[in-house]
Amino acid sequence: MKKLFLIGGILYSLVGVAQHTDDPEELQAPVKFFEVKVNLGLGMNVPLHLNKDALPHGLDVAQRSNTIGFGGHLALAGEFKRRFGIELSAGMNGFSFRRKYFDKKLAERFGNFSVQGDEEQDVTHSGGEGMDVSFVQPKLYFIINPKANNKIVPMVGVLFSNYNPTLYTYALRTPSTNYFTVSEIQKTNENRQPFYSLGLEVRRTFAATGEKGRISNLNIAFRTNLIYGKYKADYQVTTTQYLQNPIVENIQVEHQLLYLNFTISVNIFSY
Amino acid sequence: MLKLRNKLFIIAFLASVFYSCEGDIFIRYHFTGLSVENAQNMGEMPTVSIADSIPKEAYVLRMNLFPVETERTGRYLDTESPPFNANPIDSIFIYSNKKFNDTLPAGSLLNDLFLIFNGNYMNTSDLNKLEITNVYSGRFGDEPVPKYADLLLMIPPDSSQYFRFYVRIRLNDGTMFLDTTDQVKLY
Repeated sequence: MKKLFLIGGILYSLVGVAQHTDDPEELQAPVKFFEVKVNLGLGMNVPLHLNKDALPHGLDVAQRSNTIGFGGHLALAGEFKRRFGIELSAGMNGFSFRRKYFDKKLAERFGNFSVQGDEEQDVTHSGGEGMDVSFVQPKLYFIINPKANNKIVPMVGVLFSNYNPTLYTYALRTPSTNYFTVSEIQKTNENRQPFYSLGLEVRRTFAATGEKGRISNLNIAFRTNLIYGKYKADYQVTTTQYLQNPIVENIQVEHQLLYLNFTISVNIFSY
Repeated sequence: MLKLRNKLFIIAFLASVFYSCEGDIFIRYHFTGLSVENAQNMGEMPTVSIADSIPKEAYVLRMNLFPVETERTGRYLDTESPPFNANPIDSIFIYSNKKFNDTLPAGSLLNDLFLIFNGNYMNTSDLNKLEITNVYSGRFGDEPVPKYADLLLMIPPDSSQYFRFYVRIRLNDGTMFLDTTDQVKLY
């Protein structure tokens, strides 16, 4: 299984153990080869950090800081047996940060704060009070999905996220002066471990015709996942205080992240 | 006949739509003068100061450059295609009337003490590179052509005293402009 994750690279998987339906009508329905789902999600991430102070000025390069995100993805799901299915989905999540607390602390020390990310982040902003940052996170899920209708389904799983910022540049200015430093933070290596997930899915099926090639049912599911993971990353930090030579440091940071995700999933048709 | 007329109408309509689609703005400009002022950087961005004293850690020399646009085409501003300066600044020379420190007596060239601030601390330029642009600035949308350049004083003078700064710029075609600031106390 681990090799599968590695080969798949950016995969998100959930392995579910579920309460299975004993509804005879449901069990008599034909096996579906695939179905298309539209999932809309709302996520709140509460990152934990072991040693964020290792980075210059306590700046972090991880996805973090009370993130609230909203996104959607299309899923292809197949059922190989009546009781279990596999769900493979790809989509984009849009996140919006409000790093007020973070900037409030910074604003005590710096009159101006600017951040600019790499092409994945497309982040640029400056200001002292707070900062809105948004980015799009492409992702791929691989879900083994228990088949159960109108049930509360407990889920455990493992996920890989492809959130992978590699370069940040920060500019910090001492208040009321011309003096500032620019820190370029480049990720040089990363040891990413699987993230573990616990969740619940409340599922409701509204229709089931059971005819192959036609809309067979309409599932609306509400998923809640608590995801925890950690990883280590090496960074090269180049700090330039202007009119002085740049200082280059190599540091390793261990990140711990905790995510709480809510997803509404609707399957729109299946064959 | 009616069909032919309809076809002609459609072709004309598509042609008008095609020609009305304008691309990114292209702006050609050049600087036409120089007026220098004292400015201070106590707030978020440098602002002109008429005070007779400014903290030396926040002193800014503002060069007003009086740009004139000679060409503008297109509709959409894009930082990828910034305005083109047809006669850019070739060199800047900054002097002061007083001794700055032990190694910089009165009349010394002070270029190495200043940085060009382009509205963003991540995109400054020293006076050798001479990049003056609004592309990195938040005001690019309203003011794509830079009307002025702010020079941040990064190394303050040793002592607190009154200074007057002399600035001379030379454009690529050899045109020279010269101006002097009002006297200001850096403390």
